[in-house]
Amino acid sequence: MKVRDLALGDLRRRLARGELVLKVPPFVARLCSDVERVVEDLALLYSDFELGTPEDFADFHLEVRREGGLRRWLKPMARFFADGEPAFSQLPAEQGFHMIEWGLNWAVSTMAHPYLSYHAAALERDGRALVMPAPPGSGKSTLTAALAHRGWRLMTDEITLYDLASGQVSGMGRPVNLKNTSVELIRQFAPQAELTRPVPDTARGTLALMKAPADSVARIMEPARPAWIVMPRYKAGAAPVLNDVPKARMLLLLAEQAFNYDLHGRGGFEATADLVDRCTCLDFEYSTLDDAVQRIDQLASQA
Amino acid sequence: MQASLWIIHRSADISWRDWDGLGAVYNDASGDTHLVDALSIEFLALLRQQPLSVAQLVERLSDAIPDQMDAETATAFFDRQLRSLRDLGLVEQIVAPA
Amino acid sequence: MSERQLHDPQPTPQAPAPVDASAGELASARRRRFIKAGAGIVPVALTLSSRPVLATSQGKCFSASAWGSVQNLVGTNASQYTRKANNAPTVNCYTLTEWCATSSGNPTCGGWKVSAISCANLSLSTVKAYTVAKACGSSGGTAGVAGTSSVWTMLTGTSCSSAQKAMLVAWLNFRISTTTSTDVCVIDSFSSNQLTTLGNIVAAGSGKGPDGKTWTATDVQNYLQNNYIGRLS
Repeated sequence: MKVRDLALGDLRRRLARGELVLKVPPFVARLCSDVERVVEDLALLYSDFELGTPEDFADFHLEVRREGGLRRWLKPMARFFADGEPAFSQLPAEQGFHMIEWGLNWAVSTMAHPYLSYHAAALERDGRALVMPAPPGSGKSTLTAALAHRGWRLMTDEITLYDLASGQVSGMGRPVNLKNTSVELIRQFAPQAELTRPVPDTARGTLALMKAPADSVARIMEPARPAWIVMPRYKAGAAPVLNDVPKARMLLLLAEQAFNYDLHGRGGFEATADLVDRCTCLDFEYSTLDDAVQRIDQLASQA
Repeated sequence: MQASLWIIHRSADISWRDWDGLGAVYNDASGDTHLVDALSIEFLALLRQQPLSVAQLVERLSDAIPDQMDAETATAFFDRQLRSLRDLGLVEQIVAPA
Repeated sequence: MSERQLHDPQPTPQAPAPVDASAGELASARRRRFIKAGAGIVPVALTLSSRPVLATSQGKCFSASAWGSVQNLVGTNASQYTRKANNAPTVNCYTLTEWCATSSGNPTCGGWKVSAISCANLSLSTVKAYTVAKACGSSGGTAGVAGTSSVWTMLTGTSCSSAQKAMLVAWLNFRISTTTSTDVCVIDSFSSNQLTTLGNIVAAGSGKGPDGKTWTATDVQNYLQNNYIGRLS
């Protein structure tokens, strides 16, 4: 059964009781919330995802709960809990689903230890994966959202999972984070993209989440062989240019963006070295999405 | 006068990979990962086989020393490089057996 | 050591390599070309610092939610658990036995020496004077054990339950985790909040667990034991 097969009322009830078990392969998250906005955003963003039963094995227990007090009538606030513990400060309830997404990112990054997990986007075409590690502000998510609507399968916007045994990467087909001007930019670039109602005036600006295309979700379980590691960098007015990055340097850059590199010790070093070894390592400066997509497509079409 | 030799510190803990003039070294004892140059990797590769003095390293790498660098300059340069690697905990100096 | 023959995307002029040259020799020849050209001699520019691995008791670590799910397995989920157990991270922790060992050569003594516990001197009297409040920190969750009690007395005596001892051991492991090892199940402020919650459950006898279900003190002890957080032995 998928999320879209549930009537909204059923979805709301399951969430309120903490019985909403969401499968985000390779993980299972049990969700709980009494915030209406969470119901609405979950129904949109995860409509194609499979549901489990309350008896199923759950890796994480995530909750967004309305705060009480008199303020709740003026500006409803909510708080996020992971495994029963509060994490993050309380935020306006309309950001409830963003809290779920951040919480899921945090849970996966701290507990996904069978894999090496990197703070990177990943997209696939013809069985080969493009991995884009990037610190915040690089324009990675905007580029990811654009590529996802131009023939690339979206694997992940935030956390790329690298299987040490198989040498392949995978993602969870989860929503893409957009903010400020990127929201309108993607609306123009890909009118078919499904976005949540933007939440204005947050500490990070205006936020919206873009649903992963249905095909991406349908193929969540398909890993891909990594072929390119590209560090994007948005620069106003820049022509699209790809430059080689020395592999040893990319190894350290990737390790820096890895959530659990330390935990894997030498295995993490060797695996990251194998990853840069088998990939073309580049950085990429760009300004317009059309140029960027065209240049990345050119890269993919080369042998 | 007893010569001092350079060795890899806790050799079993050190591993490296290199490409095109740059390398990365992992130290299992510290958990640190270092970005180093090809010369440093070449030092580690040679010292893995046996302890060597700076003079011996200069001799072994004579074919790799840039043309504009004479032996005395190379010796001083190698010595500085090895001390940097020592500060990173990758190599150490020992006194040669009598 | 791992040195591999790697594809060089920027071929440079070279003498032909001997047909029977080993991968190591080929790699060395390539490096020497870079060194000779001056491109292979640059200052060490970057170190990614990490933390070393402790060699202690090792086992598997699940989040409290996952562990809670394990306790509610129904039939067909057993294979799922086995698959997840095989892939769960291997973590380290000192056990009660190791923390209480008195021989000076025991690795436990190293644990008490760590600066986070402020036991710079390796004297048993200092260790024995460490209080429960100091071990559990300001967040509390002493599992119903008086904060002024000596940890040593509580761990080696009979006034504490097994669940309480397991909690104290978990706190001690947490204390040293912040300065010595990353491969422990409990390492950050989230972990210390979780330990407080678990300690409160032990103190009360039962309470709402991290997965939203009711846990007893025995459930807490089992979780700490089986996830290498606070083991008795």
